[in-house]
Amino acid sequence: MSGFYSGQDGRLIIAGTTAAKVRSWSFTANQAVLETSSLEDTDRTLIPGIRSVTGSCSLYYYQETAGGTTDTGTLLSNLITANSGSGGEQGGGTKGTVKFELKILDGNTNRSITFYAYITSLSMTNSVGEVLSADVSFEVNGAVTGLDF
Amino acid sequence: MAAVNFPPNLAPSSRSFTAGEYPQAVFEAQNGAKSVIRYGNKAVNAKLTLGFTNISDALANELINNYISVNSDWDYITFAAHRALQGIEFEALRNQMINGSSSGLRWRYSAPPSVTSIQPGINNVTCSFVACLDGD
Repeated sequence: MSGFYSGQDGRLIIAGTTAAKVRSWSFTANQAVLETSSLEDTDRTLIPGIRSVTGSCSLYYYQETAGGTTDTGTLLSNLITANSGSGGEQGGGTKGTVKFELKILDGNTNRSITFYAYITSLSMTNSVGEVLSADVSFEVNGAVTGLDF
Repeated sequence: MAAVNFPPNLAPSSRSFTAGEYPQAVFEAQNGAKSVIRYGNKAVNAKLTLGFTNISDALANELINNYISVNSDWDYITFAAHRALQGIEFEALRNQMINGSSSGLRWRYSAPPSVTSIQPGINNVTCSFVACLDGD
């Protein structure tokens, strides 16, 4: 069946759990190229280099149940660690990757891209007249593990 | 001592040529006046550097084999009619580089080829040559 897709069809799954109140997600797949032009060539020649995938998402800061966890908090805990000292202490070991699945619902068919990524930035701004949300950026570690778009 | 062809199919992505210098000694007096003793009439030690960007392992290996072939027997390299000088449109300039800017000079590697790995199977290679005037 032919059809278009919109934000109504989008889902974001973080570490196996569907995130609530997702505003947007996006990803960009890149292919670096290496130049092989030599002297006397008049047109640039290339060979493929390294591939990479980066992405971002925006989530409302939202709790499903009173006092429960938030998706934003889950992502933030994969970026930084608190230290209960008096300041100046180190925040523990490095963080691992987070499994992301960026999905489009298509009837009984799911179209998605799945990968493990490092959170590279997370920003939250609380201001009058706006619902609190978080903007998250991530970079994929290695190849994507699932691709069905 | 024999001529060895530079790998004919390899075209550089960069090339640098420095013409040779005349062998001489300069004596400078305290008042700045210079006296020059010239020891020869041929400019020697011209330099040529060829850069090869993003070439395959096989081609990089071909360059190293060429270095071994030339230097193991103290042979010399010929660039004439090869792609190493590709892109020089003025024939007289091309001949200057083929000859090392003087007659009777012979191109040899001044340093081993330098191979930098970029990604699996892809390398950057730099080859440096000097035009030598062989003694009898």
